[in-house]
Amino acid sequence: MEATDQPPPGPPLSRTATLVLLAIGPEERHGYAIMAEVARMTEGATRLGPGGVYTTIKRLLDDGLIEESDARPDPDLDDQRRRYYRLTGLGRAIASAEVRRLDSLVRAARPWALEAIG
Amino acid sequence: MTSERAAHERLYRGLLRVYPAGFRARFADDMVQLFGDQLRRARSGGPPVAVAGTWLRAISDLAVTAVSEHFRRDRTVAHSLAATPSTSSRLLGLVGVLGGVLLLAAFVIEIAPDLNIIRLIAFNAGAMAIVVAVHRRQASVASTLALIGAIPALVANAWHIAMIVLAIGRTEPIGAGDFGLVYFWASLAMWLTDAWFGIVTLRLGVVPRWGPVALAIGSVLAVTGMDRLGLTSPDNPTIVGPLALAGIALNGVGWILLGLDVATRRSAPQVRPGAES
Repeated sequence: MEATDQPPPGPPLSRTATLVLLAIGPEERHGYAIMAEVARMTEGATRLGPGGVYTTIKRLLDDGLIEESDARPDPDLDDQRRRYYRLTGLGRAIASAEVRRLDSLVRAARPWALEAIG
Repeated sequence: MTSERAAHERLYRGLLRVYPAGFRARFADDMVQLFGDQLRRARSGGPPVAVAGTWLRAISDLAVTAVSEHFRRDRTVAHSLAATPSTSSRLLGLVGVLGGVLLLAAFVIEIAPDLNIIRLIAFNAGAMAIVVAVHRRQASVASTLALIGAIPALVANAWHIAMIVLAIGRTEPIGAGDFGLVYFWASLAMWLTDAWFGIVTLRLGVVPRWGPVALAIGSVLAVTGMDRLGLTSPDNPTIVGPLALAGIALNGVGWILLGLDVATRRSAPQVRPGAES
């Protein structure tokens, strides 16, 4: 695919999907850990429930952005029934593209936006 | 688990009936477990009303997401994935499917020698079409590895086509003599690079895994049936012969699965330089 210097034409992900992708990040996480990480990343502003987490996970799985991981942590430390998820190559690429898009927006707006608040 | 907590979880599980059955079958257990985790957290670290708060949030979450799941069941989460495949991707995918089907055709019908040449050429051309189409997606994820996976498969399949064309009009069997030795290397290169392409494709994860898995396993099995390796012969039938045939069939199935995905599935998003993992 031909690379381009232009950012993707629109937000490639829904807000919740972006948060879930970024919450998984380079780790392998189960639903509760994803929910907790989203709350931590957003400083408590976004608190997903089980429905929000798993309807998003379903679509990310169906789109090939995440996959279920076979790896399990030490059985003494965790419940073996939990399913863990990690990003696929496509998921990493899309998350990366979205971070770049947001970074570009923030850099463009920072000078005037922070000045207006300050 | 306390009986009270079990009662909470049973009630929550009952409420999950508002989701579509397919979704429930996949995720109900995980959702109940997550809700149980939330309840435990609320009991241990929160004020007495925290459990009520957890329930309120759960019901609100359930109402919103269940409706969404019913009415927007097939939506894609990434808007950029919603684009239909390009015409060229569809074409490449269909050529690949045709090549795979023709490879498999010899397992069910008798094919005349003249038509068999066309069949083999179409098979290699189909494989090359799929490699090109899948590489387009892979390049957005990891351009270097995508090239390392695609180029050997393209070269080896082109080499195999060249050998088939050069063999037209020869009176002796294609595997005989010096020509046969070169043909052996071309075939070996084709199977091994097909397997390598399958492994790379599986690693990059831009297509469903069954196609590349079939391709990788099938191609390796197919190698074992090559005459010059001496693992099987008409005089000495072993399990290797059927395994090699199964490998060839599996290779064809792999190309078909990849071709169908390329021809019908949404394309990967465009990613800027430096975004590769």
